[in-house]
Amino acid sequence: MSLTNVNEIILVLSGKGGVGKSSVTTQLALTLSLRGHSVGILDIDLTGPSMPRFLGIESSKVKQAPGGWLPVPVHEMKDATSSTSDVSKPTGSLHCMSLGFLLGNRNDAVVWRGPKKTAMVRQFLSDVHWGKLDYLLIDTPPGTSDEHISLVETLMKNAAPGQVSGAVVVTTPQAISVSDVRKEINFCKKTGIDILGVVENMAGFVCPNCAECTNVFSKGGGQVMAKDFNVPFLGSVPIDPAFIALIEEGKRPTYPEGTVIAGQDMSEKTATAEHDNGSLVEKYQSCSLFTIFDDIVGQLLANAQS
Amino acid sequence: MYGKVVDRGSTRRPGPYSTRSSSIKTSSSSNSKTNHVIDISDGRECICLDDTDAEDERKSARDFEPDDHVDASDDRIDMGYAANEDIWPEQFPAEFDLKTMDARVDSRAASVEENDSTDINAPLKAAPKLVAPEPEHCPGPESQSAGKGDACAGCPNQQICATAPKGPDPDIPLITARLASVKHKILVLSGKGGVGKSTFTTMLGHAFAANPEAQVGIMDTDICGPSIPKMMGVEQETIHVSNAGWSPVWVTENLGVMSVQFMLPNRDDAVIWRGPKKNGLIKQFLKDVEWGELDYLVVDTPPGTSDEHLSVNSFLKESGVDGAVVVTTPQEVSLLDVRKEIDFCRKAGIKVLGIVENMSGFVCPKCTHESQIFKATTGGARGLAKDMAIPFLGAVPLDPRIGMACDFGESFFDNFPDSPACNALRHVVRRVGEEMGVDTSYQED
Repeated sequence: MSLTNVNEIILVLSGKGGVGKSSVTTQLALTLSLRGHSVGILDIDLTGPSMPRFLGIESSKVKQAPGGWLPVPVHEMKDATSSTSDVSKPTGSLHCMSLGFLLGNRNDAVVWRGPKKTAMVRQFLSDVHWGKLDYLLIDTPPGTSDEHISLVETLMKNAAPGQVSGAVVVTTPQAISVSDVRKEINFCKKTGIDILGVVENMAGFVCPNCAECTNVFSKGGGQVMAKDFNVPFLGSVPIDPAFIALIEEGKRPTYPEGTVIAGQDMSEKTATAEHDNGSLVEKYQSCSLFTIFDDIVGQLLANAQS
Repeated sequence: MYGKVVDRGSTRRPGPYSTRSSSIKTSSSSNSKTNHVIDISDGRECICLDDTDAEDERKSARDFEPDDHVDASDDRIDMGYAANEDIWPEQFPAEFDLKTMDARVDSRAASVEENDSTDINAPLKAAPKLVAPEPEHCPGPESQSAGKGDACAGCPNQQICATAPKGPDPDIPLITARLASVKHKILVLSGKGGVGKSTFTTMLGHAFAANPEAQVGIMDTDICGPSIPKMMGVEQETIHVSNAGWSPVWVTENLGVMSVQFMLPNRDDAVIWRGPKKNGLIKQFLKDVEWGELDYLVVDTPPGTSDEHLSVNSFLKESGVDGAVVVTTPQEVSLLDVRKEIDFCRKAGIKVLGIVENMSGFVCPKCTHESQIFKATTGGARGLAKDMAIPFLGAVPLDPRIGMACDFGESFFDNFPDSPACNALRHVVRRVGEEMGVDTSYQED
């Protein structure tokens, strides 16, 4: 069984599309990995896999091993001592599995009806060699349909009791999004999945020119929803163009002089020669969202324990 | 920050002929034979599926029940590693892609029921579920002589094969007849979620309906995350059934809406359905909804390229679709999925009317500095349109007031007619009209 050596499984869910499930999954994984845990990401969005793009490993292919498939490594484990870069903390390994790696051409459409998607999800859960993992994050497509039913069904059947910690629900603040995400919470309730917390993504955008914060997609919706359903609220994540640039262009995030986020000075550090070099996980540490996610992960792990 | 306070309900003007004004809310007791409120909670009679899966689906009609339709342990995609168990990956890293997987699947066609990734235009019907392996000389469960041939005598599958539906879907002529009175049918598609498909659909609906002569219908095929009713401000409505069919909910005199949201007993209920059930509902939306004479039917779709899209395509094939408008946001993460959707349209033979770039650029309300929140690092929709040789319909800037108008269920066109986003939208709608060959100039006034 490919899940036997996985310590905890966390689902990332949202009824709405485009709210940042994959973006939150990426950041949770990077943050967990920066805390020294070994992490795996399973992307079961079959018709629109985004994880390969987010992790910058679009051209990688999955390798086949005797007992199944080997996930694609994003970065390997690093000890505090052996590292030569400015990474002072030990970093856990990060692996990813997605249908995107199996496509011959990145523009190919995967036009599959339910039963085939079901078979694929089951195979992803049973045939991937994760090895020893502290956390397996499962990124899902929007909705409450085939992929979700198959996922929960298979986990119920195959996972050891207590192995599935629960779900992180992602939403954006506006009412349209919240109304879809409420359905997802009801899905979790019906299927008996614990909700570890709600993350409100895209809450506010700080103009890089004048530092005025605009609530592009309204505000506070996620918090109110979490209160309504009596589930923990993990935090609000603003839109950070520097993070998008990091994903899209691989640029190390830099901030104008005097930017202070969560009590930490994020001002530009002196640019070095290897400024834009280095792995995603190293560069992510200079992103303002890292501080926010570090906090979110802290709460998440506390909720998963109890 | 923004001058105008959005006043809920200010734009709704139900006229004297508006069916919204409670006239059709006939209670089931008074005239139970012809009118009753559709409620999914007693879905056994109203959600009638015409697939063979219907039986199983009805069993699990409301609640989530682990109910295996496909036994994946038999259908698993054979990677062929079983035969090569002694090959160690380090020595022999075998790379593979989906093509080879499909080839393998094809070669084992008998064991894999569902392989419609290549045949998009196949008629929509479920293959019969056999209780025993097919015998030698089996005429095939799909053939006309299934269950009647010599080889079928004594086969445990005989009854199943003989009663399984044959030939093209008998409901397609019904759908074609029902939609004969609809002049233009437009799909709104995007591979990515949250790019503004529903927002754009409502805008298109409002823009078309600005012409008092035109009758417009909006159909929401997003079963698991219906947004249209909320954006239209009709979230609390229910649909009603009469002899003529299901009545859509009318937002204004000439703008009707149909969505699964109207059938949910509670606003927050999750619709936990697998594909065949969703297909059944979409079919009913097309077959049973009494739209009347319509000039435009705008069909909103969920993200992805799966059941809903295949169903809409196969059901509407006969009656003819004008084309699809593809919505995207500028960043590559989104374009990646949208390319897949355009690939799907090509394969399915749907004409792409053009591509709209939504959320392109954000103007700070304080310093009017424009920032690209979702940066177009790979040329954005404009570049994509050029690469794929499809028309570029326009770019709509990100305006928080659009989202606000949607949250309150109001028309952005009516509330902020002079904003740049509104002008951009008008331009896009005009271009959609041009691509379809219809005149939409009335909305300029």
